[in-house]
Amino acid sequence: MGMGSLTVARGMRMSWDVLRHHALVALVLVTLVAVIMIPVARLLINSFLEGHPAIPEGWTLKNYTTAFSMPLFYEALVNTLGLASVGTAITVVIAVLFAFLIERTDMPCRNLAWTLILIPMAIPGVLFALGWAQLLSPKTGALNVVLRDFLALFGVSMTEGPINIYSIGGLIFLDGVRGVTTVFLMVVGAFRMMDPSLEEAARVSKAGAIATFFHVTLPALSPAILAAAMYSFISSMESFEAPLAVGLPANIFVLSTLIYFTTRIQAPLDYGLAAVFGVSYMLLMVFLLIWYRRAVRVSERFSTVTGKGFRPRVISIGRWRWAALAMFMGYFLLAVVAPFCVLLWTSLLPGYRAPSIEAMGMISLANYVEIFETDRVLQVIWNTLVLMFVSATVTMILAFMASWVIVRAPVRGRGLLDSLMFVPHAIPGIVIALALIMAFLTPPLRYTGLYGSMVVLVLGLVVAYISFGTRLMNGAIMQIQKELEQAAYVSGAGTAKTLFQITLPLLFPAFAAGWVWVAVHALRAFSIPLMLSSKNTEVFAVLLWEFWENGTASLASGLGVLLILALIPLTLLMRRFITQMSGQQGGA
Amino acid sequence: MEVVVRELNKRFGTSHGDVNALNTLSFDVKKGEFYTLLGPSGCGKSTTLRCIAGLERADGGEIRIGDRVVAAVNVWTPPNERPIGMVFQSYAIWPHMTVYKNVEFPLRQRRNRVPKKARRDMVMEVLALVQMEALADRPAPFLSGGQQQRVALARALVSRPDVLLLDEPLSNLDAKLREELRVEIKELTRRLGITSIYVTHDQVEALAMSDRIAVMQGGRILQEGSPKDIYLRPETSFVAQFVGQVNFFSGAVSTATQDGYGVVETPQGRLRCNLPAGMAPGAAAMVAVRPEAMTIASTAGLDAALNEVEGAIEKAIFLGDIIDCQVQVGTESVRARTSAVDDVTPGKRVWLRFSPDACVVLPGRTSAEPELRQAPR
Repeated sequence: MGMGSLTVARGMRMSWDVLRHHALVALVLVTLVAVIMIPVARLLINSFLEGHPAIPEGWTLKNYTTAFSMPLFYEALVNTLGLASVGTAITVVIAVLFAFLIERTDMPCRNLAWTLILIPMAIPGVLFALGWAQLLSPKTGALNVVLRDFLALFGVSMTEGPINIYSIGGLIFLDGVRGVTTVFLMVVGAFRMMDPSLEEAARVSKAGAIATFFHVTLPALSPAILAAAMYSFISSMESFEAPLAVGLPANIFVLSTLIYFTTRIQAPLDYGLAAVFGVSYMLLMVFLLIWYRRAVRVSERFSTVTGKGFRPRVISIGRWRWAALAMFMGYFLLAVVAPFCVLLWTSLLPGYRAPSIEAMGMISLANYVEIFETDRVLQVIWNTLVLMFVSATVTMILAFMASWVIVRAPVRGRGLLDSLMFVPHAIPGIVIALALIMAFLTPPLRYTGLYGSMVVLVLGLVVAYISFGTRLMNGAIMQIQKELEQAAYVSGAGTAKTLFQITLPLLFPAFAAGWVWVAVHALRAFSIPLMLSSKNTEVFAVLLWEFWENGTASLASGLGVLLILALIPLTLLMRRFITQMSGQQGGA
Repeated sequence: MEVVVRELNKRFGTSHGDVNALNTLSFDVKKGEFYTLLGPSGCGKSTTLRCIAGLERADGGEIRIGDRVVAAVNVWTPPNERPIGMVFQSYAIWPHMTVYKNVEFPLRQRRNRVPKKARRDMVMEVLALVQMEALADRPAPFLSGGQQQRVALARALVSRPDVLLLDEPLSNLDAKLREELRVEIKELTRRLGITSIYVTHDQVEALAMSDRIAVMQGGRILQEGSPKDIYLRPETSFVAQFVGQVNFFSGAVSTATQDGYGVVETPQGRLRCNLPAGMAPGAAAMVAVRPEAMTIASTAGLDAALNEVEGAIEKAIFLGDIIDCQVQVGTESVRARTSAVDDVTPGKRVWLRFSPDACVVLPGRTSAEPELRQAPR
């Protein structure tokens, strides 16, 4: 066989060829559809079912009526939107200010500041919240103790506070400070590429530095700033870790924690209700994301960013330089130093205590010793590493194949695939986890016995990160000349061979960058592992949370410190990879 | 192996409506022949080549390589199963491999699989043919344009294909290199006796390399023939002006004599030419004369056997080996050339002389045909 086509049996030859040539394409499509749509479909279906997913009892609208008549649901909705709005406002102001100061002024230590501003990404949201919880918990928070002592000097005595992190204000603070890095990264490029002659024209027309900033710089960059703000808003809408650590103890619910509560804490658990919450949440997010994409496309028409890549004029801000540096250091203190230090502090003590001289005497590495001696911890570390490696590899390979089909395959319907790859981006992590729970609890998938296994965990992370992976690979594949693949075809190679011997090796930098990105996020992942792991598939973040909930804050803090220390170099590495990649793609 | 193309059709849908890239295109390439598809951008030559390669699919028609139908209404052989080798315009050398690995690639595929020992011999043999054997271990990114071109050629030939396809392989090279490689490619294909189909928009390449040329425009073949036929006996005004430079004199046939000659009356003068059969007195005609067929004289001639028109030098451009002149003859601007030593100051009155045998008479321009004066070069 393999002797080429025969003039005999033309019809048969044709359909076999089509199938063979497109078998790869069909396989990719089927896999992706299954992985993404089946859980979502399950979620939708289960919202109309009564009873526990394992033993469904029949169709009903009761879940919906309950949900929509529940005041808590609307409260959560309002909290989610409010938190996201105010938090984003704070984030954007801080991020834009720093982008301006770092890129366009003569603030001292600008290069250092650029690196430092990336560090908050190495601190998982849950640790950030727990750190601040230890600092500002009303009675024993370290910072509160210090403040109370300070106020006592003025004769004001308090038994609690003055600041209580377990409040809406606390949540807003956490959300506002947390999002700065991402918005900064999204906006700083625009600041760098802005045409300086716009500002120079203003200065020449006698405008002062501040006036120029507000009347020229900001308006010129508003498309980029708006796009970043919307992106930040959408991320805040999905936030889970801070509301879990800080909101829940104060009975403040947002949509994500409501789902968690209904499926993990509440007695009795109500999966049907959770499914309704999940569906509503997902629809809200899809809506927001469509609006975001449309708005970004429109705003790009008014962009004043030139492609020239020159270094814009640096503005001197005179005496304010030191004030600017102080502001930045203040931010860094709040975002990184304070939470990390308190975690470190707690990890060195037998149990959390407010700072004092006797407390200093109790410092030891006993907790760390205990951590490393526990078999369970070693198993957890192993699980975490396996999860990282497998998720990163599976995600990037699927993303590679999906991208190839989207960009290259001579088949109709690939536009559909492109839209499909955008769907997971709209689904909050907690909802992905919920959907997978439903999918594997309910027959028929229940019979695979995969519920609670590593497979489901990997699936969850793959769904969460495939959108990013696809987008990265799309850009990279488009850079590769079609003729390089065609030369392989005419040299006798089939589609699969060409893909793996020619295309993939050429894409290696992008593939590696994506792999590292997914691995780092898998290490940081919290909401999905929390919902999906069982006793033998615990990962680091889950163990940490368990220690915290059981009251062993010191062990939790120790694990937290270790996690952060592991993440810092990885985050910086990831950032370097991605910058190199965008450099190759000309600022993608 | 011969290649037979029959009634190839292809449409592209664009935002301005459908475009007929290929319009019932048919041609045959004989075994061992060097056949060139020549035409301007957008004429469909690359599309045709890619259909033969299997990289594109026509909407209708049939393609046969040897006795195998590789493309027809119900038949489709993917490119990796056709007995072809192809050289791309961009060379498409894989940057992550060495020269050796690039050339070896076809021999590792199922269709051509060759055991390891034989592979090495075949690769080095074909590298020697293109004088690249010394660079076999060089990584691909460190090659110059000309070297990449040679590697591409070697890769296309290593599996001893029945047909070699070349898609404007020389257009990215500088002029000197182009000239060199032109000769090398032709020599190589002749020596190997391999059927070659070459696509280009450069008429010098086409004339220099081909056994036969097919001039294409708008998805159709306008004329097919040997380089001499195409150049000396163009059948349409498009072919005349696309291949080489040409002057057109429009007028009407006034008399026709028994020996096949006749007179065409034009505003520039009465021209005696070889009339094609079927052109009667009164028919509209266009007389095509190539600039190199004209001599520029300072005085009127006495030889009644030669055609002559009078004019004044408008421009004279020194090109090294010749002087390219634009002569104003009446209302027309006529291109002529002369050797570098002649006196051709602008404004000088001159007489352009040319033989009746140098004139090609084409059907006169009707209102349907677009105006095709000599193209400015």
